[in-house]
Amino acid sequence: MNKIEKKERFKSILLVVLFLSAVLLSYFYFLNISFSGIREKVNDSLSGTSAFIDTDTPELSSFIRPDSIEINFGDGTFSVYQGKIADRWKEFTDYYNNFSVMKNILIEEISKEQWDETMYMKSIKYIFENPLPVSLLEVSGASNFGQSDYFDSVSVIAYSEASPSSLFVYDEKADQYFRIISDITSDIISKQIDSFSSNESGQYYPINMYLGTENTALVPYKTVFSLQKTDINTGGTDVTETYEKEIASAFFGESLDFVRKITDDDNTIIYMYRYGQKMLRIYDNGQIEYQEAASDYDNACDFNEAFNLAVSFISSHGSWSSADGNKLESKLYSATADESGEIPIYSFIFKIYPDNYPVYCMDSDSLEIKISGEQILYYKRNFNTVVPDMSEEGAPVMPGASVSEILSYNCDNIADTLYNANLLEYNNSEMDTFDYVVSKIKSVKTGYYFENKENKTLRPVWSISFSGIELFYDLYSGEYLGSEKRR
Amino acid sequence: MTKKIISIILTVFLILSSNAAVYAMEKNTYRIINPQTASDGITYSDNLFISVKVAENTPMRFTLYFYPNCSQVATLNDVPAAAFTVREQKGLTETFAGSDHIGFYTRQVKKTEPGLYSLKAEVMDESNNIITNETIYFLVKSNASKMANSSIYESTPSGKVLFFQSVFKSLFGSASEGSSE
Repeated sequence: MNKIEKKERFKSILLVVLFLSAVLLSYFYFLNISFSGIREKVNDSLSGTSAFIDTDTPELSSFIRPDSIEINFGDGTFSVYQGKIADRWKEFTDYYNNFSVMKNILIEEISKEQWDETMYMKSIKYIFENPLPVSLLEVSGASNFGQSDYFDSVSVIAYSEASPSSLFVYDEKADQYFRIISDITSDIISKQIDSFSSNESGQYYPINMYLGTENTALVPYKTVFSLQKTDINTGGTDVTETYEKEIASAFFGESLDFVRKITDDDNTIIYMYRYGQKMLRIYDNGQIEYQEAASDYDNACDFNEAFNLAVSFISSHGSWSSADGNKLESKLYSATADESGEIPIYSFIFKIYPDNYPVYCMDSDSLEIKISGEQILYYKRNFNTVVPDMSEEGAPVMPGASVSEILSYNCDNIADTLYNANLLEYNNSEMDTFDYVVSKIKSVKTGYYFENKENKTLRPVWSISFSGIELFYDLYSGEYLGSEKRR
Repeated sequence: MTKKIISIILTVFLILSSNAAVYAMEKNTYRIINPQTASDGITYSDNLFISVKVAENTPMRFTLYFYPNCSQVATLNDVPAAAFTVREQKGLTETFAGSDHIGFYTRQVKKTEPGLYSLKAEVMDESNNIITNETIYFLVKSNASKMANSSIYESTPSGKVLFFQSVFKSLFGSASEGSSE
């Protein structure tokens, strides 16, 4: 009886299916798994996205940018430009890269007097507050054309009409000035100087022309800005279980083999691999700290490779976005090499720079990474600030406070601050206090000052730098806000 | 005879001491930061920037003059005496009010015409009377004329020298690179 057999078979198959789905459903019921969670995970694994990992590694050259550009228009007027300089920097690095393909280049050391005379003419200087290792300049495209035999790092790189086919470099660590001579003739940089209008960048004058003494640092004369005081949120991320698992698996793999988890009294979670060979700490404000014991491998890498590794490691272990998923504008703050051991240890610190302006007095917000021999030795990540869009379109433009007034009002206080910090000897000369203070100014820049009060804000400020300390004054009112020792 | 000598010495002394008085006041009340002129009285600029440091509580008045008949003069000493008599005022007389801290009187002369200028600086008192009066002369020349005379660097190596240097570099440079690898 085929019909009956078929019916029986159909019934048994149906029974098996129903039984299995009952098992599955009771599994879900007892383990409280929600469907929406599964859907998310499925979607995630299908599209490969995660808040903790970037989909693409950003381009290396986007992290290297000068902090400011000083312009001598050559007609007795001067300016300093901060802010969005990516295009102009790219134009300059393209020009610089031409040197690496040339056969007839010569590098020679010059004296400070020659440098000063050179910069007295129409010139432009690209300034790095922290010396940039030469190999990282190569990240922008110029391969080594012999410059590393002369200087290890660059603090100022400049062009001057005094010698239009050369470029000039100042190495602050060695306190040496260099000239790179070629036979290029091009007016690209000269045209770039002309492209800065004083509307964009304000009028500055060297101290020796405006305030007296022999200091040639530029100080603002007439400036306008559209920087606004902005509330920010440094609340950090809530360390949820999912977030924690994501972080841990990014470091130790999905299965967390050989990994122990310890929870500290203050809610710090510690993941330890083997017996402390690798350690990951997750603090309850979202800060992450990762350490690896140095292995015995001998694979030394150079600065360039270490930088590459640093950027891609950060991409895959935390991403370059802030806690809320917004891409933070960050830049290399400093890059140093410790050559005391067998193989060099490279340290990189990245910080946020809204519109390329520095943020002062906010140590908390940074990415610090140490690499040696292709191994990540240390990684500290505190990238929890939510910074709203700080674009200046439509923002009202206001004149900056007069720095000569700030200096003359505050010169006695400034002198006291410097004496107390042991950064200045008592004035034994015949100069009045104002002249003495002004002769020691290194630079005057603009930036944001982090106010750590009830409402955390970024406040636009003038930063007056002396050797070893920076003093901050409100950009528009001139009110004294505080100081920060420079490392 | 001695009377003559005494009177001569006295007159010379009086002349010098009046200058000394001016210098003493100058130190305490104001100082011209820019233009800085060397002994030849020349300042090079296409956009003249005048800056005067003024002490506390020193109200002052500044007037800028231009002398139209001497644009081609080489140094301040070459200016004929007659040229000083014809002058035109550039802009308005500007008052600088005193304040309780050091201040700076500044003035920008955009697209400065080269030639002889003078700045009259008058120190006032509370009732707007002039206490001191000083005129500083300076010869403004264009930046281009300074550039023409400068030679910061010894002549750059010619093409041949550069060529030989690069040959040596490639011969010995690559050898040293090879050994360090």
